[in-house]
Amino acid sequence: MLDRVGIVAAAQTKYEATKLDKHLSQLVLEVSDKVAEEAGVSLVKDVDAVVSNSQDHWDGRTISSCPIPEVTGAHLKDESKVADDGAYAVMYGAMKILSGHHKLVLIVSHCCESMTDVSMIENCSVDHIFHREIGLDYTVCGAMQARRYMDKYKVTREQFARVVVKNKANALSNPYAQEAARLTVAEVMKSKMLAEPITELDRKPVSDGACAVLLASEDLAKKICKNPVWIKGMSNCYDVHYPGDRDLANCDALIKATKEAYKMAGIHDPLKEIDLVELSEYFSYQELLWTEGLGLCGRGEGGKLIESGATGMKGDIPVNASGGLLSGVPVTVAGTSRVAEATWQLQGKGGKRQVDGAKIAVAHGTGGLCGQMHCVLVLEKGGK
Amino acid sequence: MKSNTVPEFILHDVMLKIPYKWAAGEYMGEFLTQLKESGRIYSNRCPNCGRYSCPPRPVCGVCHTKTEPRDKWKAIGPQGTLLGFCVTEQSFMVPNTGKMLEVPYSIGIILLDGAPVTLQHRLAESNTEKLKPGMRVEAVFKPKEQRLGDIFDIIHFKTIS
Amino acid sequence: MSQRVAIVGVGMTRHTSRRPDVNDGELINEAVTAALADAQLSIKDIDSVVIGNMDFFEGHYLSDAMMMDYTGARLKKGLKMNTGGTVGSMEVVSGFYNVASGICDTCLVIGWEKHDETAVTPAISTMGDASLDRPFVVGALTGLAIEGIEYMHRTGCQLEHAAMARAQSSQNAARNPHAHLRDKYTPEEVMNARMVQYPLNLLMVCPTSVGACVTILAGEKKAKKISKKPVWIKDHTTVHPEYTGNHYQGQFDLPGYPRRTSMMMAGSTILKRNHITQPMKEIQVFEMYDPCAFVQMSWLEDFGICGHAEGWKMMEKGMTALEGAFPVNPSGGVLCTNAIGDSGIMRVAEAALQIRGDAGEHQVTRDVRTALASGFGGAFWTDLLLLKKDLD
Repeated sequence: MLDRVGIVAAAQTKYEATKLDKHLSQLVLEVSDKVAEEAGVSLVKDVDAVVSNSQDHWDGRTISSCPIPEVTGAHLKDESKVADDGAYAVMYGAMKILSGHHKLVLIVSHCCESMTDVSMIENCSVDHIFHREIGLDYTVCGAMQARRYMDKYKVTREQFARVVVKNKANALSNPYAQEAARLTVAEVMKSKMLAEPITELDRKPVSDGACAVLLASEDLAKKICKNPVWIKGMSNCYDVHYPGDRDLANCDALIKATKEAYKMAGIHDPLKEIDLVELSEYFSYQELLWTEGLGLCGRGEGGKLIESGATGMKGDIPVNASGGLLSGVPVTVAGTSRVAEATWQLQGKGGKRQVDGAKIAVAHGTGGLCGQMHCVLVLEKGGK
Repeated sequence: MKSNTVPEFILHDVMLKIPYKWAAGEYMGEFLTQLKESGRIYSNRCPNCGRYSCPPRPVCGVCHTKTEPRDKWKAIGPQGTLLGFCVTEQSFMVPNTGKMLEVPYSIGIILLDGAPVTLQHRLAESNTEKLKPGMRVEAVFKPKEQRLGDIFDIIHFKTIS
Repeated sequence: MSQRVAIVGVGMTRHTSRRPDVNDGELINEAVTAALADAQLSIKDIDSVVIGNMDFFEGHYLSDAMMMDYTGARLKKGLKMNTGGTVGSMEVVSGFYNVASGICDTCLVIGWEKHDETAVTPAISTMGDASLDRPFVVGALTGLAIEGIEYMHRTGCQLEHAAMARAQSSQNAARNPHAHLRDKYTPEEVMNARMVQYPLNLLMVCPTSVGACVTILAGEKKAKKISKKPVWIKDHTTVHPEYTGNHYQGQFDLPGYPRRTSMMMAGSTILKRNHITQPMKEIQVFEMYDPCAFVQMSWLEDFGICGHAEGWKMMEKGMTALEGAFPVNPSGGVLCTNAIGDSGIMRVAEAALQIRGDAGEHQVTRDVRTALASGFGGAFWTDLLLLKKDLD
């Protein structure tokens, strides 16, 4: 059992295809101020550490956290940058509190994908000696993984398309979502093919934005927040790098991270005990594969799960009530935004996308080629 | 130098070129616009602790108070006092332009008249014998029709004493 | 449950200008293997792997994922931090939290850089804000060169004192088989080196090296079981001044705003929190991240080890030499070895070796019970760690 770390506030910018009218630091300022206001704390006086979260390659700036201390009240204070998906930054912030050294930690992620060329940056994460010049980006690698997944488990493009239909429709209820629409499976499957079987609609759109989450130690969380959301379990896990070194239809790293997080949280029967999931699906097929890794169904049954309706808004375990990444969330910010959405659900702040009676939620982040690394957090509703 | 022999170790020689669009944002954008339009250097102040920022920022980095709005921004300089400098002898390729830097190349930190705030920019003088902390310098602007709204609308700071 | 943290293993590669014989991962693996051997552990005993470097130096995005096969992180927890020059020391801090939080019992912390893979100066120049000061950030040295001018003007230090600092570091590095630049210099020879960025000449600035360093951290119970000589991370602090663009203002005395650097804040925090009133007596060695020759003197003052204008006087009297009253950088420091992602962690590793009595020929003559290690980053950021032989 973990000592308790509470999420006391969360904020997101509206995600948009481009937000280049603002300096990156202004986006960070916007969400940092919002969480401070919501929690009734001062960034300068009360927050004792800032975990910033961005990538040099996306910002085109070495030490991309340079502008962060100024706008987060962290001038001459403890600020450090996690250079992985936002869920890792949240987990790191929680570790800082669990160590006993900090009581109030601000996590803030930012990324404006429209600043640069997405494929080029993704290509920079691929092995530079063997793979870059072949022409791998995440869409190409995703296509390989989707194809392998289809071959091994007979999941279908129609099942992938259902994810897009569900999430884009869910996004209609999310005021922060970039893209929302009522689509049909046929429309998704007919959209422009990028890398077979991934079409334009099967892929997360290019997106800009920022997200902040404020974490507090248990006693402080109870003092400043009526209904803090407790982090009950958390873990992360790496898998091998070269896509050919593992069976891409497997998600061993996700399975391990999930097992550890659930054990910490005391979850034995995920389908019964978890009320909703916010996961990071960069492509439609990933939602199905990640639901398997998160233990919501057996291996190869992700397609059947979505067909059953269980992961829809009216189902037993809504997945991505927010619209997920398919509705438009930038990389890096993705994991943090899942934590923010899950937090709001557990605080009853989900608005039109609220899942009724939500008590336990799972937030998930991933990074690297074909989901090489995963981070899973189990969150519990606090307060009365 | 080309050679027919196979090198002992294989090295991949590449030049990475990645396009970027960097947003200056409202505040720095206006600072650069004023360099172009009015030939003035602007700073803004924190109404709580009195600290100045150059270029202007939305929030005070020290006390996190919203800084003074546009109509209260203060034009500072163009003269100032040199606090520190360095003269570079070694050239390198500038990432933004892909061109090699012309050396020697002199950079200074200038405390601008009018506010306790500094600007970092080129110095006209690159003879280290003639540079000393405490000396007075002045911004030299490009003629208005040549300005673009970027930091080089100020060509450099020249010595005035 | 939170737990106290010790360093139970240290491993480092040799450092040199070029290593065309290894790729990035192979370089890292040399240090991982060395650290595991030193700790007498196997990769199976490691719960998490924390790694860091500066992305643009090798041109890799998500390098933690890319190097996975060499770091041993498969099916383990892990994290990548990236804070610029402080990344090495920040990795140790990050590893500290991995273990102190109770989430892990052991953590392998890796810092590395393969500087022969790209041009460092342009990469560092991208640190500047694109609109404002990218043209003026001529690599890492501009700010340091300017600070040198300011230090000389403020305290009466001469350029010759910087030459003395480099000469002293060279004596130390000559005794350190892992250092990069190991030639010995006299102060006169240092003064005659080629000018790079006035007032810093080629010998007064750090080199770019290729190397990797690993420290293995463990929680208290485990550390006491597996190590005969655990080195405790007693305290640490991270101080990052603001730097949105246009040079950090706090480096200078401005009207109404006296100098306030991250070194001053970090030093005062660590000394106060640990009730250290006579630092030169209560701390026996300081592995300071010294990217240029002046800082061995100027930052000694800023960190609060000595008073105003005493830094260069201590250098003159030989007080910071290996056998001196307060040794600084017995390893030769960053002035002689600088693989940026690894420089910060090397300070911690070297300080740990001094406490263990395992620094070989560059072991200081004082009995080391407490050591300081610092990290420095391009935006004038600082990490400061306090290491101890005994916990209580």
